[in-house]
Amino acid sequence: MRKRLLLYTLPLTSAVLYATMASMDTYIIARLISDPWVFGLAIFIVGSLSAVPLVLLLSLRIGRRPIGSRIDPNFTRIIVPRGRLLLLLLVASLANACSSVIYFYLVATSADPAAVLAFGALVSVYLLFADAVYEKERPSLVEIQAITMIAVGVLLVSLSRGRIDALELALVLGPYNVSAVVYNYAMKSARSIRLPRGRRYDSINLRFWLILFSTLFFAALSAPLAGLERVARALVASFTHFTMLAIDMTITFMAYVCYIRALGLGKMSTVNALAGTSPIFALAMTPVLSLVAPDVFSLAGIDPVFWAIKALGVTMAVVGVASLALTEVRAYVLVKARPCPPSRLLLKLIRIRGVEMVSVCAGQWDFVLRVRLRSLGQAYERIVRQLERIPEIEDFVWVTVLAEYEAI
Amino acid sequence: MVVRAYIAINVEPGKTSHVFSELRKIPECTIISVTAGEWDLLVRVVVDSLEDLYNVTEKIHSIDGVVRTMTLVVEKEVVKAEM
Repeated sequence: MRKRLLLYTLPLTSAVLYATMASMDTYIIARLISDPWVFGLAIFIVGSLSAVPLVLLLSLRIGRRPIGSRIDPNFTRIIVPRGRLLLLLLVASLANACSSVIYFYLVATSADPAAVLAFGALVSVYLLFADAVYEKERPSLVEIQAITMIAVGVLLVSLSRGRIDALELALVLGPYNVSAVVYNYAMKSARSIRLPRGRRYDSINLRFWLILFSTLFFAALSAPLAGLERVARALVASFTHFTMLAIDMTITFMAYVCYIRALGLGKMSTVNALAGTSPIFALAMTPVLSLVAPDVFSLAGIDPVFWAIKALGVTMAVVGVASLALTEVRAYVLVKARPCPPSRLLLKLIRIRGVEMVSVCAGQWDFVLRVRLRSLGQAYERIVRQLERIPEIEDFVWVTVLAEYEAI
Repeated sequence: MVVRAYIAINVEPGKTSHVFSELRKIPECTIISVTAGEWDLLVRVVVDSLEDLYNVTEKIHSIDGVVRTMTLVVEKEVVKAEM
């Protein structure tokens, strides 16, 4: 499939699935399990239990390929994580559990959790800095503008008129969002680990192990806050409402799979900002859901000014997504070198901003550079002028990628 | 042993989409880029041996519309994010 198309459709699909999951959560809390801690524990328990048959189902082969390979072509079967992959999964699971504990703590104790949790949308802005560390590239101005627009747009859509407590806001802007950054960083690193033949670890395995480890961490971290009585009630609730919770967690599973797969394709901030548009999809679902369960989903009581703010938020997010999608240039540069140690030139080439990968080759050209930029204007300033300054380079040609398809 | 290579391809005018769709049928072609510049298509190939690379090159040469190819065998690769 076309890589760029996939980079935008996967997180947006994830956003739709997250919005569906959030609506189901709202329904379950309103109708079935009113205590947030009991709900949180039950959903993790059922999430782990339902993940096992789901992954076994995805491992079944139709023809020569497992069913799961249609969702992620890298998927073959359940792989037990070891070494660095295991470490990254444990870090991601701990971060996931931490942010979940803070989430349920705020839902259980805050006077208006929605007002303060809306600031979780700003995590994509944090990820701009994490990207600078991971990609060893400063984010471009377009990326900063577009991601800030999406984050602020989503924040406007999510805001409620409730009171915002300074301590709760600090909790969201601090450990809650930082946990999300750590989670994204660890999952992207795990997704980037290469297997033989250039394959990468698949998102289905990553999500499977993530939910298992997250459940253990969440139970350990939340038990002191929730109390043993709630743990016992959660165990009962997970069996009483198993079907509903399993459907909810299967949707969540697929949302995570899309998100993790997208992390392997693009920058964390971009993927997070796109997936973070879920409140917009949730808002769009509310009128339909209000017909099904009017006591749970209601749009009444929201005044026109507030609707105007939400519409402004949607517009900002859509413009932000469009500007991200329309401003990416990929190219290859073929380089011919004068006689010199290749390792010295290799280091000079990989340090150029915008160069993602350098291949040392045997043939008519000595190096192939893979380049990713936000505009063709940057190509001259960042790449061409830099290459012209390197004395070891005899000649080079620029090949702009018009469309790209990748087996991913 | 894994062998990676880039194969640059020049195509007869009007046959780019045909060559492109034929390339997609070759599983060893992991990335296929339609390009503007000296070459019309740039293909990244991952195979188990040089013998397999030869077979892939043969398949590409047999596609109707392919005019000229140039193969660059990758000796070493550095990804910035993995440094």
